[in-house]
Amino acid sequence: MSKETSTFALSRALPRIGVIICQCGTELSSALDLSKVEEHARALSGVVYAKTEAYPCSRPGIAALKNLLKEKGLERVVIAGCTPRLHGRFVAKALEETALNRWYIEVANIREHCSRVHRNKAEATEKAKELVAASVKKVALAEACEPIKSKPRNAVLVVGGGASGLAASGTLADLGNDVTLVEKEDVLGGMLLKLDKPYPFGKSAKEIAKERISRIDGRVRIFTRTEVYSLKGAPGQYLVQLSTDGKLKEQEFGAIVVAVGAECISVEELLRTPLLKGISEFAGRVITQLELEAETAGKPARGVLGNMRSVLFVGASVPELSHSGARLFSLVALKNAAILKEGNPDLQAWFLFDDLPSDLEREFRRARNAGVQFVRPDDPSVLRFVREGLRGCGDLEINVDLVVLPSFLRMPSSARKLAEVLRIPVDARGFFIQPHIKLWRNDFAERGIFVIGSCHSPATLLEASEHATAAASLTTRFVTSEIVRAPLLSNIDRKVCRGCRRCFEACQWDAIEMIKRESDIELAVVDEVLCTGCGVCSTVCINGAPSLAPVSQKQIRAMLEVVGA
Amino acid sequence: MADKRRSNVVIFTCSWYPAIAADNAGVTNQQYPSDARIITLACAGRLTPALILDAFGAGARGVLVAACKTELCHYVNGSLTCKEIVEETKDLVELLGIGAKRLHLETFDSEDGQRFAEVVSEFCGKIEKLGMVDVDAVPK
Repeated sequence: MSKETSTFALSRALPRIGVIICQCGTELSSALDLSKVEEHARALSGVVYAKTEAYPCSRPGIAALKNLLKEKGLERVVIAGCTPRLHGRFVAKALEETALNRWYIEVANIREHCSRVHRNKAEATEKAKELVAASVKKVALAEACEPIKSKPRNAVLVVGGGASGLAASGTLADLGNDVTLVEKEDVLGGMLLKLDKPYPFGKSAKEIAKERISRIDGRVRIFTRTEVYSLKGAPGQYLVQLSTDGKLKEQEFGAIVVAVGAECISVEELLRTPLLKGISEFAGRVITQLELEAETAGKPARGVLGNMRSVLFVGASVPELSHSGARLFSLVALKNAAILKEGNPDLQAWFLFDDLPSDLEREFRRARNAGVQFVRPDDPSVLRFVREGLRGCGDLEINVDLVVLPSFLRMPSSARKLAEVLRIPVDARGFFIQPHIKLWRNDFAERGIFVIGSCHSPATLLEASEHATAAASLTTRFVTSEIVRAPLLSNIDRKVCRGCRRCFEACQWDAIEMIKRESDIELAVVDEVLCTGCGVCSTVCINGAPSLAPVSQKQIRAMLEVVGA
Repeated sequence: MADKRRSNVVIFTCSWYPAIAADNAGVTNQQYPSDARIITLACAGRLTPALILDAFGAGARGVLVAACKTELCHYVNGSLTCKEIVEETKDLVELLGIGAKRLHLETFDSEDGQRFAEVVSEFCGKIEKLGMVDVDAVPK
């Protein structure tokens, strides 16, 4: 293997490589012996220039670098300094302006990966030398690559016609997009149709649903009893098959907003869980908030519970049963407790909680002023406390006619299928994950698929609406501007491929086609639009034909020869 | 030179979360042995058995693979692919006489700077104890 690499390197003239070593003020120069690193770099084959600079990432530093590039006729540059995620990016970007290809610039991380993590100066200097040498080897073998640019289709698909889906469709239509809304049920509205008076609008949920539907009426294509059947293509150019009552139709979209929501666990099922099993023998009636709201919807609060004298509200999340939805559960319980107690002052209302989000202070005060009694059990499990209390064997004897449990949310089984079709990762409870929420929040924009509302995590109506508006504006930005993708795609070497079809079968994105070449041999060809650059093809190939377009296996091997030695 | 370094370890990191965890280790001034060398790949799922063997071939005494948490994989399936590949390669490495203990996979989240340093230190310590790869044991 090493022979192969060296013949490759010899077979063409070595490019003129420049190495710029950053002192980072005094940080790197004090932690490492940079003169030794510089000396070592200068002796490397291909390196025609090596220099230590104080602040190459500063504005004058970058200007000087640009001049240097021209003056010395440098074709490749290695910058030894901090992580490429920090200033290296600015330097690389500035050098690109001098018509140097992005992939001819390499950053050797001698700060976060070296000086910062090793206190021994001599050892760290040795390592820095090697890191620079590896980067020089890598950049010497680099091939120029251009970014892939494409124009997205200005059409957006919204999946799910509930509170968040309707809000997102409305905002998207207001912003002038071509919007299609699909809903798997017969009617739009989702959870809004089951709620009574959601916080804090002061309107009934049905009115809100009606308003949101009339907002999109005539401006958004609506398909009910429709689900997403399949998805192909890349961000900006998705080819989606929609299935209406089993009939398929194909449409193209630039971006997709997923707002399928979640479903409530029914009280029958809750009563079968170990924590609540057999509880109905001791309690009066046990229902969920959703059932309470369905019963009270549209009726005046006064006397709505008939002759019931006391009610227990549970306003806590139960980790065994639900996704972290403490905010939603507390809010709904507080709101309903306050409404009921205000309407029926004679009713004895208990409120059981473990933790109240601080921003619900106002709702908490409202319920307390109405006369709701708050109980906070010492036991971490609120439900165990309820069970023991109701049985009369706990710290507090709870003697009530009605127990109202939170509406615990979970993902319906149909959502798992959707996650597979759209390739959205799911968490342990089946909720959709918005990846890289910590790295950059709009990363779904890169894929053009946004997840909003309760299918991401149990959300209040207010949260869902805010989320929808934010997603709508991000989606609009996504479908109206040119998409520039780094050319990090699989590249299958035609000279090496033998047409064994392994990669064709392994590719999960259908990005590899077998195309007949000369002498009737079928060879694997990568579709640039569909390829995500995941690299599975390179792991299954027995001939080593696929590699990442701008970073070849050869380069990584060359680096390994340096750092492994 | 080769003798001075006690545990020559190559770390393959995915360019997403583990690379950030590695940076994070630097930002928060964690410490790990300087014998560990990081090579960043676009995705840990790109790692092939050949590359792992190349690392051993070049003289590495241990290979640590740092992948993303499975559910956080940017390519959805990369981290899982990596897991399969590492498991397969472990058999291969054992068969070759290098020893499966010298190959290890760990998954990281972006803020795992401290854990990154701990994992690397622990692995380097383990490799140091194992010593050099016994070349005579490797079948010709």
